[in-house]
Amino acid sequence: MNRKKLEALQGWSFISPALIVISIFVIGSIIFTIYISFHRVNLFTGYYEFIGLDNYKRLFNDTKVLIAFKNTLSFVAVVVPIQTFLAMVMASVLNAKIKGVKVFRIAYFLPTLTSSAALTMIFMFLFSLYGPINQIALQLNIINEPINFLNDAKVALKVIMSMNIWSTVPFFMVIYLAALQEVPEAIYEAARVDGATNVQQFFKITIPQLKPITTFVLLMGIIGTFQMFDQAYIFSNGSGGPENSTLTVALLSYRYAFGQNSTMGFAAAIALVLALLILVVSLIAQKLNKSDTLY
Amino acid sequence: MKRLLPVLMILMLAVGMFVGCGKKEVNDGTAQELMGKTVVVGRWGGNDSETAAFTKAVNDFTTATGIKVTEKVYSDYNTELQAEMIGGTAPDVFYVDAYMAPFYIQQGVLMPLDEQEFDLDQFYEPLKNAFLSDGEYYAASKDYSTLALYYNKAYVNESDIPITMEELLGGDFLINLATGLPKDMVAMTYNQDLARSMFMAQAGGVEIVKEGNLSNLSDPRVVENLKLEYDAAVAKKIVTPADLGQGWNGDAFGNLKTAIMIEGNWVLGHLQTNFPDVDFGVLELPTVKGEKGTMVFTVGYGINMVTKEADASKEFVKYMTGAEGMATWCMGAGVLPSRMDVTTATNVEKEPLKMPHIAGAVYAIPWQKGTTMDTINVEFQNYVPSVISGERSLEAALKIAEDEANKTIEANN
Repeated sequence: MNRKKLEALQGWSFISPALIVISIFVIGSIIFTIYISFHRVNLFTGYYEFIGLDNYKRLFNDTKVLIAFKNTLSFVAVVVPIQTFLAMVMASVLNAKIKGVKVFRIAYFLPTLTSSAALTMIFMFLFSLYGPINQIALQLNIINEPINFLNDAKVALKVIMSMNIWSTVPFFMVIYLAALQEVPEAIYEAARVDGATNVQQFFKITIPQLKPITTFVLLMGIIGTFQMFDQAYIFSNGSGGPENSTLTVALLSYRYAFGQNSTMGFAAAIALVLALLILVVSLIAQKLNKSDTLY
Repeated sequence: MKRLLPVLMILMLAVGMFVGCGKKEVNDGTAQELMGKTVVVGRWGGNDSETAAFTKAVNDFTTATGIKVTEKVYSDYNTELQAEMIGGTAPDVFYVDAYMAPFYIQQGVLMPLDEQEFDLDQFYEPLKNAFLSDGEYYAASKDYSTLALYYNKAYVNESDIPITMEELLGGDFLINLATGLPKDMVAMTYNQDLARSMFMAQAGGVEIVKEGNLSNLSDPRVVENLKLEYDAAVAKKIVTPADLGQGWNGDAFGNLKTAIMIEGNWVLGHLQTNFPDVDFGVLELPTVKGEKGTMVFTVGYGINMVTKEADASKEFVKYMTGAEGMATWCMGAGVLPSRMDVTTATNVEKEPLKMPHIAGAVYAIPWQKGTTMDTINVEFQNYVPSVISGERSLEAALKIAEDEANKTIEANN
């Protein structure tokens, strides 16, 4: 065995633990998911029946799927732009030299450290029929009678949206904050000399300079929001209610896979279509936010 | 290609190693001697007293038989257990919720139990039959809970509480009660859940599930039955714990947010531990259409169909659902024994707070109905809020809930 081959073998043996784990738990799972999405399966009894595209055809006939995709898309469309913009604004504010900036940074970052399950419970308390938000709004005469946030199909998803924005903004803010350290101070100085206001500086310097990071933030935001599951699950007790208003694609897939349904093949088909959709939307977002137009 | 080859070889080697490991664990199972065998028991976690009671019963069992027991505690029970069954790593013995039993029986993962061998005659009829399918019993009930009416003695007189559901929910009692309560306290809470209202929905002999496991919620008699509860809810006579910002009835009642609730006996320990100052009484549920009714929830021990330790597993289930094991478990955990002889032996009937719950065991209907109850209940919970908001009539909401559920059920078949 020559030296080159020996080295190659050494290399493979070093990465083999990671390779094995990845091939079983990632690649293997993906292949298996694709496989069962073309079958009617019962994993308990080991029953597999090839049914071609039937699971995918069912996607178009199932009213639940349509609702779930609609909900998820509107969730993404609202949450991603707002969380990205807010994160950028907060980062640039915190980047300014104000007193006690560290305290603010920590305070703003706390929501991200809290588990989303606990956050959901807290938000459900805040938005409950007799909860603080309704009480304050009543006291200030903004509303005449309490709004049933949790049980009203029109507002339930919006509560989850606000919760999601609130808890994810700090994470992206920190990323922006790190990126801001790389923006040369000289550009701002030059702008100030030319008489640019703070708002002008933000839109003309900060946003363009952060464009590459924005691409990353958008991608992470899109992927995270498309896969939203836990908050909807806890919020609706797994039902996706009221009136399917909090039914997300991930929650629907889970419901078809487990519990008493045991339609794993259909669930796999839903998950795969969701993955494809995320891929397409991510590519579009990347195209729209091309970073090479910067310089 | 050259690079792929070593990868494949390494993969095959690794797979070979895993397969090798698996084979070593196989026991021949022919040995008659059960001493020293180990049974793996799957369950969900409970409170401290439940854990202590379980450990004590298990230790007694090991002392008596020499069979060792390993516990496997799950958090998302039915999801994790199903994954393990599919993967072939499920425990020998595990908790089976009566509600999930038809599903597991249908999947063929439960071993049938002999009626005589497991002494099933001693069990309350509804609890025994909760695990019955085609003449075979697939689990033995370990304990049970029924719903009863809880009232706060500081605000409600027992003698004032109506004895029929029609008067309680339909009459003026709750309205009058509410006027005398503190500002942030309501008269009564309820749950938008068929698990709590099935006995009411089925009053007078109608069923909420019809032929082919389909939802029957829009049956005029079911609508009529449920109208009682939901008219009261629309009139704000009763509200959900979530409306009050409380996680569940137990917290709402303990935190003095509600004066009356309908709950299972699992709330007893919660109230006594966390809210010792709340003085409350427990009553059997008011009658519906002149008949007594309540829900019973039960969990049994089932044996894995593919267990390697069938005999030891049977010994374990026999002990835990036998007179001795069940007494240890129920006395320690504060739950109700499924066996009539244990009920008598432990004198649990003499406890005034538990008596109404035990009385219910005879006439209760189990929370269980075929393999589609999940779908039916989810759609119910989905559309019932629109009744409260005034958007739909109960009739319309139940019609949509039925149609949606049946669409899913038919597509799954």
